[in-house]
Amino acid sequence: MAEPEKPPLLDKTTLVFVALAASGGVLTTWLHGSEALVRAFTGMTAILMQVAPLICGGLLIAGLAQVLIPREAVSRWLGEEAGMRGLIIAEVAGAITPGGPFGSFALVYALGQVGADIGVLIAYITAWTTLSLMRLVVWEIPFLGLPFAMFRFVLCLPMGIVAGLIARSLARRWGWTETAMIVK
Amino acid sequence: MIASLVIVWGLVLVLGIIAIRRSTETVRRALRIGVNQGRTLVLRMPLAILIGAFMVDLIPQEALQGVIGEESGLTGIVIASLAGSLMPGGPAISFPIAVAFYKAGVGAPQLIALLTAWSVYAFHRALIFELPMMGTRFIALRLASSAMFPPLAGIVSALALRFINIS
Repeated sequence: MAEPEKPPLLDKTTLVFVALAASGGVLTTWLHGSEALVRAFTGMTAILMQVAPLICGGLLIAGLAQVLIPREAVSRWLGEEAGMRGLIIAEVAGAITPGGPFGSFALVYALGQVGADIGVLIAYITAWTTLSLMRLVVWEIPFLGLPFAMFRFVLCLPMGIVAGLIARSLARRWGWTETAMIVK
Repeated sequence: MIASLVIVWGLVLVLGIIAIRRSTETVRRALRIGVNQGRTLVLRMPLAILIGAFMVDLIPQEALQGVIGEESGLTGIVIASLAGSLMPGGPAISFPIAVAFYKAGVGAPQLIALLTAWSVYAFHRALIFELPMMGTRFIALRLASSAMFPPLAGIVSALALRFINIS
């Protein structure tokens, strides 16, 4: 696995954040006075104190998961199985795949080229977007709380498999009989 | 809060033991990934929380509650689904803003519809990654297969939350 480059402390995205926060701060002060500004900062400190210990743990989990779950293994499971079993494996694989969109789409692209079942690929991507355990641990639990996060997680559990089943039947109806006709 | 801490740090412990049994180099790599990811958050996270607070201050609370509040019902769920699909950016900005809105009185079913739409539709991600990498047929098939999920998630949670308390 390639080592990620050390990201700079102040990159473009962060500068956008700075600009948004600054303009928001100016507008808020202008409309609601400096008390509103103080209130925002006090609120921020309180939230930070609450989420920091959870996010630190979440980041460690993210790092550990990325070295412990090799992408090649995920790719092997997804490529060989079809049917209902394939959809269930895709669901689990999607939920545990760490990292951003680049890695997941690259994996699906590669599997599409070698003819993996389209239902499995759609189920994998859908599970990855809705269930992502990494996002659950790093963001959702710290910010929205365990009960809310668990409720949403359970609610989203069937989505990958259902999407996979729908995708299979749609692909058949639209005449896209080969996965390579869809992923190209 | 305590339960979250126990779960998160328990998971760190379990994964850490597995990694350490493999090799210290594995642990070192994991730490490096975690720390690198954390570096970008040191500035972004406080800023994102501030942005959320300012947004809530600038949008009239009654308007927000009227459109996607607890009482907004199905219309609110549909509006939240549309808003979620247009919300750009990753979790570092979306969750702090979501929590600010939640505190300002956005309904739980509406918030669930919004977050589901943000993760399933994600037009920004579709444009930047999916379209160039996967092509139009894949996007069409994926969206057609999951289009109903965000409003459906909102409706199901509105029904379920009559019996479950998650706040």
